[in-house]
Amino acid sequence: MANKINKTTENTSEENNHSDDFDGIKELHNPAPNWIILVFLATIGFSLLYAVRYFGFPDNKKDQASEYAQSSAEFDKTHSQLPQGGGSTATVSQEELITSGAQLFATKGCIACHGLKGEGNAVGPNLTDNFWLNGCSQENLIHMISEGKPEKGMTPFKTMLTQDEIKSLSVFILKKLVGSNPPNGKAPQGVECK
Amino acid sequence: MEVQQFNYDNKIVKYFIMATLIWGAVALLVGLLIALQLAFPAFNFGFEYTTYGRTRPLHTNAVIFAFIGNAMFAGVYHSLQRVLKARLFNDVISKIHFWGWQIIIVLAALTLLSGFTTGKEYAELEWPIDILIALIWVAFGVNMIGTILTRRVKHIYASVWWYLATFLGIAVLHIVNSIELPVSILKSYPIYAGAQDAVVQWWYGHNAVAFFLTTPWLGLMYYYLPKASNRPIYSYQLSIVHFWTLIFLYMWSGPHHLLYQALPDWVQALGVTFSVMLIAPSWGGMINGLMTLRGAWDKVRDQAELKFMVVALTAYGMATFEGPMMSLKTVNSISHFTDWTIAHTHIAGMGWNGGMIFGMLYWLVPKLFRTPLYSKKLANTHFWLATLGILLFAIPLYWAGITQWLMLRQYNANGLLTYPSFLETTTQIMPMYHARILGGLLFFSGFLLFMYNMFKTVLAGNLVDNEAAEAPVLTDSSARKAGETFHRMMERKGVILVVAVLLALVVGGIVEIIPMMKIESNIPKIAAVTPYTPLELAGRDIYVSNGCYNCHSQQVRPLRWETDRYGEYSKIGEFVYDHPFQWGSRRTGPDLARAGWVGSSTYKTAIWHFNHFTKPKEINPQTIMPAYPWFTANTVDLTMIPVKIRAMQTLGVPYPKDYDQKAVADYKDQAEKIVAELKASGVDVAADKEIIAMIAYLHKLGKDISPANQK
Repeated sequence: MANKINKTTENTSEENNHSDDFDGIKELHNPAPNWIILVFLATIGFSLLYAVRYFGFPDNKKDQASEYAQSSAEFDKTHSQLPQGGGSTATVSQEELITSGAQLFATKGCIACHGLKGEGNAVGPNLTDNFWLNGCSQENLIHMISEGKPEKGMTPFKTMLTQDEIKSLSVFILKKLVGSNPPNGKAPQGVECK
Repeated sequence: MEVQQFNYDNKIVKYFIMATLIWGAVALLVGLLIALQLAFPAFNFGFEYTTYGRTRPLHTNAVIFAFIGNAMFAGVYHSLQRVLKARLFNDVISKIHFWGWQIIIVLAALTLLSGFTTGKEYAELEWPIDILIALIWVAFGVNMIGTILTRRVKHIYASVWWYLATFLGIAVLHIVNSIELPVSILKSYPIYAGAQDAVVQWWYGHNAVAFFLTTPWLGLMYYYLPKASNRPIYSYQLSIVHFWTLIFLYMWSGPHHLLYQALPDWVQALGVTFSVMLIAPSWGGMINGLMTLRGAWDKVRDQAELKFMVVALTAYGMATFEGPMMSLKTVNSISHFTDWTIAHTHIAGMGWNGGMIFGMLYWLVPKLFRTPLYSKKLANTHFWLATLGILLFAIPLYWAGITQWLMLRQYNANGLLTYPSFLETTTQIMPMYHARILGGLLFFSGFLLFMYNMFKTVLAGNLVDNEAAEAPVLTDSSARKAGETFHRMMERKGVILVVAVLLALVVGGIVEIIPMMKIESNIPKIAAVTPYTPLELAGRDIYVSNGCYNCHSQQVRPLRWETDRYGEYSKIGEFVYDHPFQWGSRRTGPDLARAGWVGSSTYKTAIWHFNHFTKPKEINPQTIMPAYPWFTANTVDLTMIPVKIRAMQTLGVPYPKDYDQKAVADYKDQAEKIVAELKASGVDVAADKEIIAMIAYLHKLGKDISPANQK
């Protein structure tokens, strides 16, 4: 089979029509395979169509900014129907809230500023004492996690955590961290809450 | 007809082969080091000179310019003399070329590790070295063109067309991309800024791939493959068509490195379309190579050099199909900034360039030293180690790239990003980084066998420094003969060929670059964007010097999963004072374009940055960010501040008149504010330390257009 193809394509009569000696290298005069020419023409065709799409109609809204605006609007439309994390009505035990809160505390970047055990470090305050900078209630704490205080370094987590997750974090902090008295606790900041 | 006696210069070929072997080992070893650093940060060794941001450019530069470069010169100088039947044009120029190139490599290694860099990928070397490269490169070109003009063969063989394109292409690219304003002996700023710098840089960057890693190697393939297999080239016609289409189209395709980024849509569209049109011209080389071997496949079984060349051509075919696919915007949104690109470049680098180098030298060294190869068995073992090494390297990285992309764009049922912390995605792909080390280790151990085999062969053989040859003197009538095609005539006329190649090369660059420089609507300005303060500028220089761009991008793409993660997508007008641009090409860590946007996920306070630079593991136990404790010890040279401000003014940055007089005072004022902030958090640092400037710079990124700044 291979030989057959070779015989039909190899144009040996022209092999030596080059008078040069390229260090013994000969060049055959086979035509380029048809399929690669077709591939070339197809890619040129693709490029022309692509160019018409992007250059042909200045107002066809195919520019980067319009495409983003469109896709983003679609995204918002689908996602506005989602519960946004608030509507969970299932009853979850406090133990479960603490377990998931502990997990979130360890993995979502809290320890970077509040320490492995919530003891606080140069960046963030101690979460294990009963002194608070931004109010005493659980609602205050949830608000702080959710909205943050960027200028002081507290990242707003509402775009990263669901309201349920923020709630379980707050439960973990208030029920598990507060009063745990870890070593190297940062000095108290804010007002003491009873 | 008079027959002339002359000699081939084999000694220079030997020199370049030796340099290839030595630098190849170094380049691969540094590759192994950086693979280890990504998986185990301890391998940064705690020195600023050995930290990933500096070793990664060392690896890329060493592989491309030292290993592949020296091998290319060896192959070109050996084959050029033989297909033209002439000794190299000038022995002194050959020596200058060789030693000059080695000096460049040593200087490159020293300066890159010391933090002297332009911050532009694959063009990191600073201006004095850039000038040296230009001079040595011209020496190479003079030698080549001189040899062409003194040849004894009527027609110029296909290999030489490719060599010419290599010389001319790299000369144009290197010179245009390296136009920079020196501020000291080893520091300069590129004259281009932001999106303009990006277009010029990736026009260069992509075509360094084309004209250093592709065209010379196609030329070498056209010589060494038919020689090693003793088969005629399959198609002369195909060699013409794919040569001209390839060198013309390549120069347009650079913007595919900048898709979905802060670049006009028309430039991006050119990058996409011309990349797609490159498939067939690239495959022309693979087809001509593989078809040349038809009827000789039994030889491929027996000769390691042919096996390597077959793998090379196959890898070339894969990479040149994959490349155009990655240039489609949809695919690019996956591959860009992830390990997919790293896998792609290594298929090409290890498979195509590595395969061609090994194949060429397994054939050339025994021939040159007139002795059989020391061990065929070792060569076969090398072949299998290399092939397995490539697979074990690339497959985990494809896996890692896709995995990371899937994680970064995943939303949970509540419409929030499932993995808001970038680090989670890095941790997930860590096993792939371990597997990649293994792949690299296999490839490197194969290389050691190759080195041993080569040295043993060299020691057993004996090289004739000046190999006698004879050929009839060239007599050529200038007129076009009856029935002679135009191309056939051009092959007789070196000067016309050079001019034609040059013309084919420059069109793409002209069409893309000149409108970016001259037409203002391409660079829409944003009024709120102000020049860097002296402190921020100093911080930026430290950022560049430490190669932060090797892991952190500064470019948020207009994709919802990026804007949800980082914030507002990047606009062209944000970068107009960026000499050089620092958009990056791989996100090993998170994007930093919004690090100064108060309220964004990447905005961190001064004390956070202080802790993170000095002890990153304490902030994120799983991080692979190296520690930069020297930032608190190294002092910024304030005497350079006015010089830098004046340089920026020369480049068109609108500081007020005589601002250089005031700059140091402003520097200190701004620094003291950060010092006070850190002090309030219990940390004492002097105002002139590098860390203060770094914090100021990071707090500038995205600040100008942030809501907090508008108030």
